Amino acid sequence: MSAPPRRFLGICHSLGFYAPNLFPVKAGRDYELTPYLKLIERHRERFTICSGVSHPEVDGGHFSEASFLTTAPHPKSSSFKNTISLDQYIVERTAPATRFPFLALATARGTMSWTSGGVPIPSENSPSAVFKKLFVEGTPEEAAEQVHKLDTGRSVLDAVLEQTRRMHKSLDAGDRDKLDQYMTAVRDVEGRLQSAQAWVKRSKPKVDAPIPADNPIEADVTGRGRLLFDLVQLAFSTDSTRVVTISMDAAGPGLHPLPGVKTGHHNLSHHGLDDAKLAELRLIEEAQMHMYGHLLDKLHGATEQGGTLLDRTAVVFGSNLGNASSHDTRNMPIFLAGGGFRHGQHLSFDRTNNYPLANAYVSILQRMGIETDRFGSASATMRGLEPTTDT
Amino acid sequence: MVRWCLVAMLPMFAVLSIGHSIDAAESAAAGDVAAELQSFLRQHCVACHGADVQESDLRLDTLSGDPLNPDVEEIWTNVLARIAHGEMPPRGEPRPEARSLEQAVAALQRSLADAARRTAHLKPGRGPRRLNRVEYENSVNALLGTDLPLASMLPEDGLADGFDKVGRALNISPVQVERYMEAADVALTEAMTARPKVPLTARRYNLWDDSGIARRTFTKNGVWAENDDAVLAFYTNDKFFNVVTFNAPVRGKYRIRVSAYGTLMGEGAKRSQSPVQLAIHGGAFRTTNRVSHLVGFFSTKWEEPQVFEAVDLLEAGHSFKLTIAGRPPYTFYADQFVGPALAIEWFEIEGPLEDGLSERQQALVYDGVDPRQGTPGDARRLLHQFAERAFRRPTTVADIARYQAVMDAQFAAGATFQAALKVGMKTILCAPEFLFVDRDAANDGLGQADDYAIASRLSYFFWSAPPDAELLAAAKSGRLKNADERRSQVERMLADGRASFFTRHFLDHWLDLKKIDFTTPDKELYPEFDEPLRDAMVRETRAFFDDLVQSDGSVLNFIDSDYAMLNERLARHYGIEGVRGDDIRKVSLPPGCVRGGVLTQASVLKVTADGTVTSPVLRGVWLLDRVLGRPVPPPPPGVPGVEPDIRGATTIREQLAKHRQSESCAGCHSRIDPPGFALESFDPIGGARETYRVVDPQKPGLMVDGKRVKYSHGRAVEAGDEMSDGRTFADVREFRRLLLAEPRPIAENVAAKLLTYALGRELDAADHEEIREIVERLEPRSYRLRSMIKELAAGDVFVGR
Repeated sequence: MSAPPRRFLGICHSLGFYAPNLFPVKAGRDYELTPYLKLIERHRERFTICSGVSHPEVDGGHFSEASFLTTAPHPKSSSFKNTISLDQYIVERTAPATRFPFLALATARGTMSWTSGGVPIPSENSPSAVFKKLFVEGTPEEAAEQVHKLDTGRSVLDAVLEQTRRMHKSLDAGDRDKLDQYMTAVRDVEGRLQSAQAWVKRSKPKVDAPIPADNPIEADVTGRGRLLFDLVQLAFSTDSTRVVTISMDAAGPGLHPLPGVKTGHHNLSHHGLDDAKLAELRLIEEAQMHMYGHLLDKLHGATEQGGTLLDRTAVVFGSNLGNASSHDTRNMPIFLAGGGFRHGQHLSFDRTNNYPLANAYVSILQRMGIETDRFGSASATMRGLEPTTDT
Repeated sequence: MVRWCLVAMLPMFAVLSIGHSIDAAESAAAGDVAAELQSFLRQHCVACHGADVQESDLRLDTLSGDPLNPDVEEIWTNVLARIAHGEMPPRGEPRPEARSLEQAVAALQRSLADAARRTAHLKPGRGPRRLNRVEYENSVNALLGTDLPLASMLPEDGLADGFDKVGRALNISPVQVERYMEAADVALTEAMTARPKVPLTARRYNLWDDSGIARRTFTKNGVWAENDDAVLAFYTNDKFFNVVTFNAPVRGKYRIRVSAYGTLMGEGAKRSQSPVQLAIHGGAFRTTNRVSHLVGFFSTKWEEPQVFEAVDLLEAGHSFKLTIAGRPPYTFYADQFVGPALAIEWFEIEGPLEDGLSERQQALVYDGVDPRQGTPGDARRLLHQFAERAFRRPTTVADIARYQAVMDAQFAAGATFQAALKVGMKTILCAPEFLFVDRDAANDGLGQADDYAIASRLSYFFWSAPPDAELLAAAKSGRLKNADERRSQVERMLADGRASFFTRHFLDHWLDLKKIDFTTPDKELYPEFDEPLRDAMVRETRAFFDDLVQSDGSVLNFIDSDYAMLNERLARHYGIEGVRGDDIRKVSLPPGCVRGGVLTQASVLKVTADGTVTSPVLRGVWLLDRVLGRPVPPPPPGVPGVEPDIRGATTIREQLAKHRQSESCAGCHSRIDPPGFALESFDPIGGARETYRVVDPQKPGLMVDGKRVKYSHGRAVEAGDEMSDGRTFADVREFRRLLLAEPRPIAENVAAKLLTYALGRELDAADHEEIREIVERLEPRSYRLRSMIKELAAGDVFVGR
């Protein structure tokens, strides 16, 4: 029996962490527990906390979300053009034979996934809808309707592609970029429809879980996050997909329903060092840590072929902002977990002159069997992040 | 700070010669200009940006003039801006003589414009752009006669220069294509299926009936009181007053009538200054994916029942909700509540109202063919008609042969008339000819758009919708190349109801009104913020813009005006007396009032703040970009933002003062901070303030309107500052006067934003040259808005590539 597949999960939450509660002082394996790390102490051996890392030349405050998995510089500048995100890079190179090549999810809005043309891939934010897509068979009528749509959809796209090509030829070279994008997208969807035609005839995997109820409170990012994490575990366990990204945007309006929280998360993140605000912020950030603990519980708790899902799943979670109060993108809070690395350490880099985070992405790519020593701003693997000995 | 990218390949004057033709006389003249500019640079710039010293890493004497290198173009554009605005040479250095400065600026502008014209065809961003999602929705609805909310099915559109109309940012991912296919299915299914006739029903709910009707009508565990003749709502609640016994049987329009009045509950209650308002919402309130939209606010009279009526589009299964507006919870117990309440006597819901929509849709799709008996020949005719309308220009059978083949294949495979036609039409709705505008804009060899492309430009500019029959007729007869014809089309289009899309969409992006709900004001600091206020804020700014368009008022009113567009709620927020009722109307401002212009409008002040605090930096950056047209580049890499410290140890002013002492920060912050400080006189919800509000557990809250609030007075606001050119101001009134002392750039900026919106692309130096000419031509110094819009549409750039 072949080894279970390697997988990738990338998660970005939008408002950082209050750094003094998170980062340990001491580097290495015997770092001291900080208030936040204490909350996931049970997984200590299964994650690495990185400090002093960021993407070089990625500035622009909240805009840097766009570059979290791509590393493209200056996301706020008017001439910004994004590049392929790590997840899509993995999909392109491993071409997983799963029902869904990837899932781009979000608690509310935003996306972490970008095509090779730098086009954002819109995310899905309804756990119930994604659950149905993954695990619930339609009625026979719906299935027939689906088959019909896939058949006609392909002939529709064939015609559209041919006509677009013709139009493309009639244009000046400089005017073609958007039609190029359109053709690429149409071809891509044709491919998806084709593989969907094969999958639509195969029954969906059965899971022992009810359809999740969507959480109506948009600001309840941790509640919504947990629902998505449960779903991700099911998706990985059934090999429905091997690549998932999750955008956790908390910058929107509304109050987190945690007791004691009276102010919006975005407002609290601009705490200005005010004690009352920091105390409220801590309530939310602790809930986030518990949520990540829940993720590790789920992935570590699910076994496959003698190991756990986590063993084969490289997880990156953290935030694009190092200090949300000043919109600072340096010193990003970054956790690495699972995926066949030796964790249980604090990788401490220079907090003034940051270490490129993308080197961790190269480590992950190599661990997934993709031979490259470059990705975005990276030129090497991450110093101190060692692979385990399994294959 | 700009990162100067030095590509020292060509000598500096190359940029000057590159734009000019080889005509000998012109070349000589150009040479003179070049010589003058060169001598200006040598005299005033090269000492610090030359061979020996390179301040800010900028060296001008060897800077390339390669117009195709965007970095070089950006540098020269920046050089131009800094010189033109008197920021360079810096203070302390000798000022250039006015005439020589003027000449240098003109020469640089001209060179950049010429270079832009010569390289326009080589630059990306001018080709076809796809419809944005609002345009898509309007286009499909116009084609099919539907009124579907299709925009919500599509991914959010990207922004460039602040607008969601700019081709560069309107990307197309595979998901976008998938959603186009889904949206087309939804729209065609709606349009091709005759809506079942649902008989009109009307039901009256008499709430004074003591049979427990209120408890059956509204949510069971709702909180309200009852008196002899009405149900009393005393605080705004999302859940309690939705009408659970009514669900719209089908999608359609429904009329709701409510009899209500304001009353008092509890011992010692007093009438509030403002009347009690009824808020009506429509939507689905009980599902997990709750949707709700405001139907309207209605001011009641004290103790005098009045009937309020509204018609609203409901989705199948949706209902109405009736609540008191803008009253945050004070107590959940009716017997403890003391204060004004909303009394609802009865309400009535009637519908679905006959709107003939289904019949119109059938007529548009089938054109009289009975779908049960249609032939493939009928289908081809219908498909051709449909394509011609969808593509917004004459379309031959040959043009759509490939699309028709898809439909023919369906017939060959035994599909019914309706099924085959649907697939054919779906192909049309996914076709690039439908999804892209401006696709044939550049193929006449003259660099001019053809008439049909102009028709689409006009219609998507003013209506966010496809051209109507009249525009297409004008295109057909070749009239749209004529500037006067375009002027009169603009008059006609602005008078049409669809022009509300222009106001709404343009302001959503120019002034960021779309961000109105991005932050929730802190409830302790800003307890007075409520939904009627939020609603009035947005309506004010839209009404202000509409009024300027309709009355052809001066765009300088955006900076300062002696009137405002207010209703009672907003006037109360602004502290202006004598405005009664919910309708927005034009109100003359009292002398000395701090309001006037968009900068003092609550909507703008809210979208430029987070919910708790204001930041002079954020507002300054915003103002420079949106109002003065001089965007500030982001801070250089490696420079952290100021760690905000609101504990009172240092003020933001003190921190920013440090900034301005540091030379590397001063370049931008001497421009950013002053406008930001001028707006410090306004809090995050646009209230005028002289002190900051603070919540201090040690201090008792203030008494406001007879109620104890949580906040007290903090330190005083200092709104005065010094502009980068040395002029000083004491407050926002003086600041506005300083801005108005140089009206030209303000007018040019409004024109530039309008033109970006109209053309769907970022502007270059040649466009800015035309803008300067147009603004120059406008009636002397009046800068009237509608005239400006007309002249932009009449101008050459509008019909160019």
